[in-house]
Amino acid sequence: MSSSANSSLIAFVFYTVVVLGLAVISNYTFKKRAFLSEYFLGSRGLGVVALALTFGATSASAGSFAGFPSLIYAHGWSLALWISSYMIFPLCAMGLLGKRLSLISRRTGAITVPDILRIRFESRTLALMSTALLAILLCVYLMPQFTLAALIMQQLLGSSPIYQEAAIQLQHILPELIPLNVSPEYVLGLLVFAFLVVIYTTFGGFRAVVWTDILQGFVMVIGVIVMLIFALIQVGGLHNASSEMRSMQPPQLGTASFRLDDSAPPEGIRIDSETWFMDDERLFRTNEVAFIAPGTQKSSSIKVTRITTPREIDRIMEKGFPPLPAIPVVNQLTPYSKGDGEPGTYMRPPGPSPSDPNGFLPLGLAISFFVFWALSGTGQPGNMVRLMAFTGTRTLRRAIASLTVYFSMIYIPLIIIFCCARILAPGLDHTPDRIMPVMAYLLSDEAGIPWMAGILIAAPFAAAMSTVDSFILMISSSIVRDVYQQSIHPRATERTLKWLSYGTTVLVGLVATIGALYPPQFLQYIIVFTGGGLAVAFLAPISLGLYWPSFNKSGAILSMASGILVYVFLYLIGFIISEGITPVRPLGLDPLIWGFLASLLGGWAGAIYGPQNSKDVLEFFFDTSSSSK
Amino acid sequence: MSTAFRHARREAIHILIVAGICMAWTIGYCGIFAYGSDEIQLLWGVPRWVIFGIALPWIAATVYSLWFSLVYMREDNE
Repeated sequence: MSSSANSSLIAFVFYTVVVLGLAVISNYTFKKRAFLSEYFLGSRGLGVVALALTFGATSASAGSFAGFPSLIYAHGWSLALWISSYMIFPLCAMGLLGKRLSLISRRTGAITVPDILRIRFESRTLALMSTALLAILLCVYLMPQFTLAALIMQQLLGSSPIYQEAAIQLQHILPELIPLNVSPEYVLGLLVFAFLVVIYTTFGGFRAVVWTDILQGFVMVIGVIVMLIFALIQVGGLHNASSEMRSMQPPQLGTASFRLDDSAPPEGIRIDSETWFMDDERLFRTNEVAFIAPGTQKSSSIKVTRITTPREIDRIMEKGFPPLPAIPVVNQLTPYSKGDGEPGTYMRPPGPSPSDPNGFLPLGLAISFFVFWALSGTGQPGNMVRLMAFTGTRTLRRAIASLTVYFSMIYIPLIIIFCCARILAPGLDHTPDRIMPVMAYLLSDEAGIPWMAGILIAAPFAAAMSTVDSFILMISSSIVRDVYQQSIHPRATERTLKWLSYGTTVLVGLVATIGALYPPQFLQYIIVFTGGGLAVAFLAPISLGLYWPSFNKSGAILSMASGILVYVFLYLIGFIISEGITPVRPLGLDPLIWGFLASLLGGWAGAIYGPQNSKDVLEFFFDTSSSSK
Repeated sequence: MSTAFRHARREAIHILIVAGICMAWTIGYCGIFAYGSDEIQLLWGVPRWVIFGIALPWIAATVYSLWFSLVYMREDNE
């Protein structure tokens, strides 16, 4: 494990040097061009590979390589249905708006999404409203992304002696920087990640972000393919994996502590996470580290998983495991609400669930997610900005084709790899978020090439980086372009805009870092909430504005406001009822779908009853004077 | 309306129809054969409902996307 951890550290340092090098080259490039268009849009020069991979890498956030694998591990093949709308994701996300957005943004000189709205609807109010929504939602979105990235860093490098020493030094030098409830390893990971991302984004702008996205896109796909090959070899083929999984039933989740008959020695007794032990003829695995302090006889309570599938128990017992240095005391065990005692529950939807008696993915939710990914991907302002930055329609066409193949090479293999993980690394059901690094180390160690772990584990890190850098730049561009240049100081010099852009980019990164120092709860829910909120706010106003000539300013404002209000209202009601970030889902459908429907309805009402667009706008956006039809 | 606008609108409608067909196929097949059946049959080591309800429409959508983007979609630059 230690050699794997050191390999990870070497791979990470190499990766860092390359990323910073790209930023330096990018900074050199934009010295010769118009600053704002180059810094925020790369002078609209994206080619096929750049457009496809920056789109893919930005869409695949840390969730794709940390959250998604943990869901596959926890719920099995149901995740194939959960993610299935990625079959049409590139077509919808790039094809629906790409051509129009590109043409209009070139014609108008727009460089941000609020810029498009301001020009199309001749409304500064709408531009400021959309900038405010964008900045608030993206800032909220960035905090869990920074937190996830820091956790990935901690898992990636946490077992390296050099990293551990650096964390201890950080605690000694800057103790006030480390809040009570987080570890110095986490804070070190956060600071390294934030420093790296903020530096290359600030220094290199959009072009550096795209170049690093290309690098990260390749790292992701190579990591996934290598993992797939290793996983299939080690599990003995897909048929073998599925046969094992067919007999599998969910474990029981519980807690346990460990005790000694005498006091612990001066160095204490440590029982690592992922340690197997037997208690009363039952097989368990620890999911956290237990420690019996010197001079005491008992550890605090930790999470454990009890394996319940007879075939799995036989397989693990056959391999054997070392005896424990202490006596386990299992405190309580909870069976799954759905799937307990049902062999085969991992093989079909709705899939097992520890808390929901309806299972992980009831049919209504499956329908919601199919619509959710396609709508959410099309409506993300981060994706829209990329559709304003490519060289021409030929680039768009080839990028759609490339991204279709790219996503198939990422998401289908991920499902297979982490279904195999249930057989190769069982008993992590209390902490499934750890499955990605655990599998990376396991597969490369078993294959006899421990340094490979460094490359495999770089994939989730790359995914986190490629999302965060784009969003930092998008908030910065909205503030500089749509607030400062358009509303406060229209005649600002290029030099002023340049330093303001640098300053804003650093400031946004600092705010997200400080927010992540106190990690929020419900990470995945915050990501889903803000991602859905952005789509609900922007998809209808932008798409109707691009395709419907009669769609006007009143329609756009009503559409944005009604969509986001309905969406937030359903979350708020859910928050009050369930005391968590679980929304109310009328008819089993996600708030995103209701928000989008409200947005369409509001847009239609506003367009019908509001004032008409000016002739100039119609001519400029729709060429109404050319041959009519 | 300009030719570029009419092309883009026609292509967008095309995409929405195909997305609807993919959704109907995937949700319809899985609703009947994955949710509605207790028997788990394997095909090439994968649950049968995944092959016919997800892999097959995924392949069809990929082939369609390639045809749409490389052949059907028009070049409209200014």
